[in-house]
Amino acid sequence: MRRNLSIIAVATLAAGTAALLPGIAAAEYPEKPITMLIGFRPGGAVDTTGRLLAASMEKILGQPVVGVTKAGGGGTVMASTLVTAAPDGYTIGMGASAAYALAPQMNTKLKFKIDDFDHIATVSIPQDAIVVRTESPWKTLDQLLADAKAKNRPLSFASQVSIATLMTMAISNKSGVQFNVIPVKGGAVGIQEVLGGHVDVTWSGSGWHKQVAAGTMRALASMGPKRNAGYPDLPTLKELGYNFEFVDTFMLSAPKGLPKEVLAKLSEAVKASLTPEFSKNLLSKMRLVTDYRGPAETTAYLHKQHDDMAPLVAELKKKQKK
Amino acid sequence: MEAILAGIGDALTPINLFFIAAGVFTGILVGAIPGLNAPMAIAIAVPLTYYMSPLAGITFLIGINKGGTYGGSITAILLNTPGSPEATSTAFDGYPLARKGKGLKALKMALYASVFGDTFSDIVLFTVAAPLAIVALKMGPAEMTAVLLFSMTIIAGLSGRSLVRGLIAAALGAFLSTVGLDIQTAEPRLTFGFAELQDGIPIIPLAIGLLALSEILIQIERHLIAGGGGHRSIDIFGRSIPREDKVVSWAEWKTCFRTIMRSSLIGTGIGALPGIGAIVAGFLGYGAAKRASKHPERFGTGELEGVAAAEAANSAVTGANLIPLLALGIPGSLSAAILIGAFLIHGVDPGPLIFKEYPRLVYGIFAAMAVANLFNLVIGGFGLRFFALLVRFPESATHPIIILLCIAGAFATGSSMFSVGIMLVFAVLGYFMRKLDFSFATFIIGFALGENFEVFFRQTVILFMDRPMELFTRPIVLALLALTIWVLWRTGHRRAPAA
Amino acid sequence: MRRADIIAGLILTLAGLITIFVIVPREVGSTSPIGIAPDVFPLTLLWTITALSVLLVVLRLVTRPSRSDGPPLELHNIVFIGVAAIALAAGFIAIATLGFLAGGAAIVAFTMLVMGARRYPLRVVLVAALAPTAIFLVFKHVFTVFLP
Repeated sequence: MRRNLSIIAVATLAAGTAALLPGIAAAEYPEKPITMLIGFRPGGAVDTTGRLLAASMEKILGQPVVGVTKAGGGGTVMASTLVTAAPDGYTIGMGASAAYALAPQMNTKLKFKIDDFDHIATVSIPQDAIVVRTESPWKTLDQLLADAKAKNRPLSFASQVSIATLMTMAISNKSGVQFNVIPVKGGAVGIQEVLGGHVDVTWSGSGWHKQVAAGTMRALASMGPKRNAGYPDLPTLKELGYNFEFVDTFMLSAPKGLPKEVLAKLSEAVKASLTPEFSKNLLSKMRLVTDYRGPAETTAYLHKQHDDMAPLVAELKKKQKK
Repeated sequence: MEAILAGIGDALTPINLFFIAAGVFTGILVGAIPGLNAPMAIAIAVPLTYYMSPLAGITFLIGINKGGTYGGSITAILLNTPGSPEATSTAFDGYPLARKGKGLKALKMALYASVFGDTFSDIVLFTVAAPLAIVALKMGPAEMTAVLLFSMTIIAGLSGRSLVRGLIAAALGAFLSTVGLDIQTAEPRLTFGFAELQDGIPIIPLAIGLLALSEILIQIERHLIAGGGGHRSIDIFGRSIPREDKVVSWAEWKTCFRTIMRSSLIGTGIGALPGIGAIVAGFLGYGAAKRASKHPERFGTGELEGVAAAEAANSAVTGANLIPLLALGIPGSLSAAILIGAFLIHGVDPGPLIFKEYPRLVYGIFAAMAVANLFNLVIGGFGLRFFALLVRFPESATHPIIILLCIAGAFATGSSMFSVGIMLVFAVLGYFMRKLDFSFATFIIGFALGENFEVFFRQTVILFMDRPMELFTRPIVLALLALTIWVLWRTGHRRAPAA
Repeated sequence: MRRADIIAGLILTLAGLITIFVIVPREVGSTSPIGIAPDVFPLTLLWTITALSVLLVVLRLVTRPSRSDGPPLELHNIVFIGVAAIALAAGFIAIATLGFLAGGAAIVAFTMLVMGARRYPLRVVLVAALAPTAIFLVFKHVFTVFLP
């Protein structure tokens, strides 16, 4: 009896181990499940895009695509992990462009650059806005700045550090209005501070839609290169004469050195996933706009973002040194 | 009115009842097992809910949250290893009770207090969510700095036998919370080049190591010194144990009722404010009960009131956490942040309009929450019997498995061995803290509050640096500062004759 | 607790000073364009820790040793935690290299044997084989966490 049991135990252990061993290499990619690292917390815009995409790619590629959360540092934790993964197409990462284009400039201790990755495709973009609360007297950005100038006081601006900080710098450079940047953790906290009347202005990627719909907040401008599709009356900073644009696009990437056919297959799978129905779903649920771009275009876009921001980052660093 | 009735009707359909029960069950399970926790289970369950109706999906997740707050107390009481960090203060008196053979009594008290606190906070949510959320909005960075200052002074009084050691532990915890990207300049602090540390030391592996694994190490050591068979855990169902040690008597209920009420109020208040959390609520509730008690010296040696105070307070956070979420669309906790995602997936945007746009859904959720509390009582009642069997197994079998669960749970929080490493480091640190009587409880509180205190304080400085006098015109700040000074003065006076 | 407090206080004082003067200047920036610099909070806390540690040592030095004052950490405690720390490190390496199943089995078997389950070899084998497998499968299928 005892012996039988030990045999069963050993057999179970052996079976368990065997199930783990990777299959022997076969011809066609993919022949085992693909891991998709997701750079942001569950429930957020990037996470939702990634998980919906994974479900859809699964059907096209015929292998499970498993989402694994690797949140933190605005997507840089995921990027740092992804860069060390094997470039075999079985580990891919869903992240946002600021982590690749901006973070390595701001923080030189990060061990990756834009070109340490094969960027597979751009998937979606958020519709952002600079917002104030409805009780405030300001109806437009110009009014806000003129008012601050007339009263000769700095505006308080709740910001999630990097990108919004650069934006306020661009605005003060032109208007001469100073911003006191209040660091907050996440857009929701910024909205809360503005709603409570503790801070004048904030920038938000997605949380502002419902506040505007409810009439508690007013949108003044957006940072994108063109107007948000859902808000045709909202001007962009560019139109208002400020030389600043940035869109934190959500993209799928892989470590550098992916075999060509694997990269092609993955970006095709993304393209095929973004059906009109998928876009509609994403727009209605998360207010995200799908925006497919292939590998070359995505990488070029990241470089453009990097170069656009370089002078502002240099200025910010100089300020911090002082 | 129609919407209310329709909502209640929706919640009571068999399929929704099933999902509420499943959620509560899952919550108790993950709450009880060291290494697993409710936010993790909710994050994982969010994709599962894609395929459910909005109400079923959301109540399933809320069920997990509710079950999780009670579940943590089970292992805290039976094994002194809180299954979730919130239950840290439950173990103070729960474990001593279990060692005296009154484990079943403590478990039941914890369950009743937990369900009571949760229900109380739900009622507040149902009735005054909107006005309360407006009050919470008035709490700007300056007010929050004052709130945290006040909380810390109260908790400092709890630091065990030596105030100096307690304060060292708290400062150490707060110091470790400064690791990570600086919130203002975005430069890394004390990360030693590890990208994994950019968001700071993750609290879940830290808590697993400090609270669960270090205790297991101590118990293994005790086992070894006692020589093999040594001390055997007490069978809390045993016939030798008199009935009054297995149930909560009416008289005990009555003595604890004031404590439970007080803790429920504290927990609800903490829950309505984003950025403080259930761990702190548990401590504040426990501290307030000790302060109000006629025999504070009995706390920590197996006082039933202590269990009730801690559990009612940490559970009352759950319902109130949803106040800022439903009324303003702002998450009050990690679980609530993940819940937002679940709402959005179902096309519902939680925020100021939710009561107008989806009244039926909101009342459905409220009804489901009430049902979930009931299920928590029932499933928890059965569950504690099941878990209590745990202590019948020999330690040489349970302890290795708990070690493995600690490792697996730490790994799961970051999907990396790095988190496991952190967990192990804090397990060894926890061993020394326990042996040398440096309160690991104030350490955790220092860690949990330190980060937010720094953030709020720095925000306040930037906001008010050009007009500092304005701080003294803010009534909430002034009131909290006055309270803080009053507590300090009283603590000083109480301690003076003793020292 | 007298002796233990003095030793712990001295160690903490030393660690605090090293962190203040060596680690923080290397790891934390000290300038900020606005408001409080990044190193102010960590340094304030470190000075607090160091000062309290010195206070702890001084307080214990002035009090008379009481009769019940045994060292809370005796030699066997130190041996135990030393061995335990090495075992945990070994377990960490085992899981990182061999994977959760094999490494986990080793950890379980080792702990059980240490805790005196030598008399029941079958039990050891069963638990060591089944516990990691069960945890692995539950994490994989229920929580979609792939343990290494």
